[in-house]
Amino acid sequence: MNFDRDPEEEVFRQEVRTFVTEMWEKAAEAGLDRHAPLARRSVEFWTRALHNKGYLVPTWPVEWGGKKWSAKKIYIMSEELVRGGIPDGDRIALDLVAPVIYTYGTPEQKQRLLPRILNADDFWCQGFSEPQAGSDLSLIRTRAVRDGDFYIVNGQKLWTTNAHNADMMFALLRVSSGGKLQQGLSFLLMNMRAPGITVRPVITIDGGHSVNEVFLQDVRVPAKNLIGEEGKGWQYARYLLSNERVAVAAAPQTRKDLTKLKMMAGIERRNGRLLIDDPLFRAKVSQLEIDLLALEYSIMRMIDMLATNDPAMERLGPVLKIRGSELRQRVSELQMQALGERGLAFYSPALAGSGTDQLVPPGPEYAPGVTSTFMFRRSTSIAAGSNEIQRNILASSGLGL
Amino acid sequence: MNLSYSSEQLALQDAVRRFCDKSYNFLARNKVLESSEGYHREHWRLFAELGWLGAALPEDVGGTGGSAIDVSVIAEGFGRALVVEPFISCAVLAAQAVNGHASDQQRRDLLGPLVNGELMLAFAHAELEAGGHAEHVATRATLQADGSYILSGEKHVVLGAPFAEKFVVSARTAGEVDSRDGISLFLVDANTPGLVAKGYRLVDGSRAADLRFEDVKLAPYALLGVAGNAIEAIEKAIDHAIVAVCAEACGAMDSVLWMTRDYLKTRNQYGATLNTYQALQHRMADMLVETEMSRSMLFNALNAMEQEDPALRRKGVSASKALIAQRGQFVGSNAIQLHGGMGVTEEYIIGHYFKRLVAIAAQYGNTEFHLERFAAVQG
Repeated sequence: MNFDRDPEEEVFRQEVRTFVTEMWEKAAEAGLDRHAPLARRSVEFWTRALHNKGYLVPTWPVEWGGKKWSAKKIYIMSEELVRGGIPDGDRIALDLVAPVIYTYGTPEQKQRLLPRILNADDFWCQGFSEPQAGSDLSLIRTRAVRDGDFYIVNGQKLWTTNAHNADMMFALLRVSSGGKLQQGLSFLLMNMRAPGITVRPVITIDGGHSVNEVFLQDVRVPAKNLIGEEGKGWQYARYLLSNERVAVAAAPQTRKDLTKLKMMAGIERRNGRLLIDDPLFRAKVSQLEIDLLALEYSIMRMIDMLATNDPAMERLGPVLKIRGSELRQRVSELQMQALGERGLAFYSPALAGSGTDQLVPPGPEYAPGVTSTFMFRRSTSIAAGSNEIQRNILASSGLGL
Repeated sequence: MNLSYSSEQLALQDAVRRFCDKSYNFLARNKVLESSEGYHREHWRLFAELGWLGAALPEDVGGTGGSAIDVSVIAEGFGRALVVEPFISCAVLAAQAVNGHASDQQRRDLLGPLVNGELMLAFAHAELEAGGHAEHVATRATLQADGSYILSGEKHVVLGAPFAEKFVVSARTAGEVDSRDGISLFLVDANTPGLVAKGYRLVDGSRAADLRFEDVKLAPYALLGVAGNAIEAIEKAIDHAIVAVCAEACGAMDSVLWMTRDYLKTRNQYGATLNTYQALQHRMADMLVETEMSRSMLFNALNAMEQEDPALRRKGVSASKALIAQRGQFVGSNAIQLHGGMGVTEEYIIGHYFKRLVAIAAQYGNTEFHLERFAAVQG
């Protein structure tokens, strides 16, 4: 065991920081709006910049731009990119569907789709959940019926993040019933421009629009968009869902949120003194910081386990998701509380510039978005495998109960 | 000790429930919130007719002579249905401030129309750094030679401000910023020159404003009651409002508890309805425990309002606010979690209950403030 900082890793960390500084200068020159990170132009810019540098897809196979980096090195890179506020690329494309394509896809599919993902030419959305199929994806009903060189798709998807901006959707569709429900599902790639697809926004309690309902009526999907074998979609979905073991804890993002919290507490005043000088508040911040340290060390352990293929990673994965999501929520809550009664003033940056009549509350620069984010974070313990399901996994697979 | 409601109070409870069932489904409520007015004049008129606006105001100003208990019955019913009309900010907080401190003539002139639904008031008292401390008033009213006042300062998160025709404003006529002595109350017309209002929404959709007074000239008769000793009336009015939002929270928690129970019985995943999963049963049991504890603390708060000694009143009210604020958020957030994705959507009602419970937790002093205020009183 050795807790020394690896000098090579520190050199690399500095390299990423330099990249971050340089890229922000380039972004300013390109006239990018720092406050609209999700705008298409912004995603394209950052995706291409990261890919150019080799930072976009370190976990991919080398022939597609991957690196043979250790999980530690990859984590350092993502830590620094998050700390530097570098906007995300299309994570649904890069982290969810691309691994399925390069693992189970045909050479034709890889050639057709992966370069477009790497160049941010295609945005993707995930068509798994349906109204009656949330945690239990075996209840999927949207059907794909083979008709010559096409599948005809009918049904409805729900919670489809970014469907309103997406060019492509990867979907789990039912091709046959009878037998176990998990069998009879296929993994199909769909063009969102195809006739018969209707996207309806679902506004979340932060007042923002990120998820949707997608209605599919007699949508024709080329059979060459089937991934792998018919009826094996469940297997590919499980592979997809199990991939993100480290990122799911969102530790770099929570570290950033905590830094902002401390900044706020150094400005907000309560009881005639700075909030950070209030012992009760300071104790809460300390508790969160300690819990974050525990999470970060857990990630280091997970990284070690991934490197050695230690089966204990199966047990630690759900732990990271449970604790990571809950901690993210708690930090967000304390940010809102730090604003005091001002924290009640509701401003949703998600609606900014949308033409909606928004009364912007007066207040400090750091206030907008704090409360709406707190509201949106209620979903962190529900999405990506609810914490109840995670606890089930711990109970059965982890503890053998 | 007898914790049962009188027959009049039960009748009141019933009347509020009938109003909410008839006029307050979720869609109707959202329409009201989205309207430019933000509340329904029809509803306000009805509240006046039914005597609800004067529920805890004395008969000499047109009230029904009831107490905080009657207000709590109304507020709980409103919380159950997520009523958005500014009952608490206008008919409780502002009205009690006037009732507790203004002269008899002023009380009749202001509260008479208020009880009749013809005058909307808002109480502009809290300031940015007060954090719940009622005596923290930096806004100043400087007496001029001719008996008028010049008012300057800022008030923040004035609840119900966009609806108010007049503001009841606390301002210092003497003393340092945190001194209990020297605070006075003034009546300021919403249209007064020099009064700059910035209106906005709160997280639960309700409306508030920040007010800035830029050397606002006030006539001598704008002073309410006697100058310099308004602090006791201010604290009592705030305590009235706190008890009302505690009641509102109890109503909201109750609604949320049973809605979640009903949802779990209909939602089927992995071959069974969610209510059969023991982990979720236990979670709901915990929610029930906290809902019951909160209701119990509501009685503690009602008892506190009857204390002669203001310190004991403050202690009891703070205890209830601290507990109900925390548990309200617990019940609300778990209700969202148990609803899964639906709980996080704007189009489903559960998230809106959560937002109201979050708002209540932060209003009139947060939990930390009330824990300290509770601890500050011996015995």
